[in-house]
Amino acid sequence: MPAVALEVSDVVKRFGDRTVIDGLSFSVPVGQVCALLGPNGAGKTTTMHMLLGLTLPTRGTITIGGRDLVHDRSRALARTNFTASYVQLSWRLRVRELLRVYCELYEVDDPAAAISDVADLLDLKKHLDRPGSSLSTGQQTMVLVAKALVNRPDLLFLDEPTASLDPERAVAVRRVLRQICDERAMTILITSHNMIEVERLADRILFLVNGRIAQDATAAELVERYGADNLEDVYLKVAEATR
Amino acid sequence: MTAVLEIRPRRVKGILLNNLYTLRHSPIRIAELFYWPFIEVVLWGFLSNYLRGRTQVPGGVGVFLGAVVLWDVLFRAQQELAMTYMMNMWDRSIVNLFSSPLKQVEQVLGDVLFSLGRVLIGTTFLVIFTKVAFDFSLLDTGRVLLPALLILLGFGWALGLAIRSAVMRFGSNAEVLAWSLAFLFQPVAAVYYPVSSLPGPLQPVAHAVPASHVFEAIRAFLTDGTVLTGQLVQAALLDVVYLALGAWILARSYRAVRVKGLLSRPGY
Repeated sequence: MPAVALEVSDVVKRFGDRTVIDGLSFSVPVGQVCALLGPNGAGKTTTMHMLLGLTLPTRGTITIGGRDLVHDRSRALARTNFTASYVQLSWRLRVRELLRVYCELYEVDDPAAAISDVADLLDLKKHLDRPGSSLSTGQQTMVLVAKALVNRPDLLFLDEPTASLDPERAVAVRRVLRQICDERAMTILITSHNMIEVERLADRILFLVNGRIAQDATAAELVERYGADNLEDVYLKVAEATR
Repeated sequence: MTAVLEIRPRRVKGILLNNLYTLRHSPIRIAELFYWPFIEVVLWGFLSNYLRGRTQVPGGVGVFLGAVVLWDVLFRAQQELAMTYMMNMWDRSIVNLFSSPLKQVEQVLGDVLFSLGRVLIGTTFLVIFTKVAFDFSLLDTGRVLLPALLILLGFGWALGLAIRSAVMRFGSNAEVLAWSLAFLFQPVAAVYYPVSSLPGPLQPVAHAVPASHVFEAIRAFLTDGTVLTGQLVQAALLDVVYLALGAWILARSYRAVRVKGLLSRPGY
């Protein structure tokens, strides 16, 4: 993969007369954990969906690992993965079956080993042969995270990934993600309203307001810049200033 | 263009596995494979028994049973291609599928292979059942049977592609098409009666439906062993047109929902 994992260049998204994303440009280097923050309606999820090829930009280009997402979607997404608090899997299937399906879709070399590895990593081994429908919401979220990691992605998109997890599990997921990033330079683009999560995980923060980047800095820089106590204070101040 | 048409077998296998696992855990989906065709065959079987000796039907009254079994091939092919998409929509797993490298063509191909398996199992069951219960063998349709099956499958898949497109574009409002679209064509598909018995203005419409040529060919073969090669070739060519149209509509819908940002909230 090139040194830049993700490049977004002058992206505009309009729904009818409404401009949701307005000339968005940024790039994420390989191995960086980048958080996309912003108040509701700032355009975070629309941006995320454009990066996943679910929504087409009105203008601009998105390249993943050097491949143009609009024109070469399948290859661009081959070394990525994704999970979000609002997506589901076919929970009537057993966990092992669910992961197997996604191993095939992402063309994982040794599905059995990949499933075993990710189950070990997320403490899911005892649930592998249970139907997804028999799991608690938190356990299902862990399976969604497992699905997102099963192909050992180079670039991981996370949209509120730990929203339905208890603090203990959320910490465990963050630890795993950080560990993978440090071990093999996985790049992450994450959106979250959990500022503690962002502060602990992200190397860099993009603050999105009205479809534009209002701030691009580290958490520490932002806290200093705004004379705030923590990232949550920064969040409130930026949101207030741009209202 | 080449990137669009480049098919990765592993991803097709992934879709096939997804369908097989889903079927394994859905007893109702297994039961419905046999239930409706069984009811239809029993009804038409009893009617055929009643008509036998009382009326003259070209090809014999058994032709009705053949029509029921072959109509089920078309209907099943159409419905399976629509249902496999809708099952993912109901499970809210569409976003995970569409954010993977999976291409539309791979997803459709996996679903087509799955529907082929379901059709083969269902049809085999009906062929055996109609022979045992009503002494009618679909295999008596001889050389016409294989092209007839292929053409009906093709037309069913073309309708299935159109339904997928509508469900993708209009969400759950369009689901009803999965149970109804094929029946819109049934009156002009010459399933139980010849095209010549239709009112004049409807006959050209019937000729534009591949299934009508198939059922005419089946009747002709059962009546006097004639193979209507021209009709079957015409039906096959019509199939190609309908399949191309179905694929085009699906591609248009896929683009439209991505422009409108609807793919991330399927079933809206």
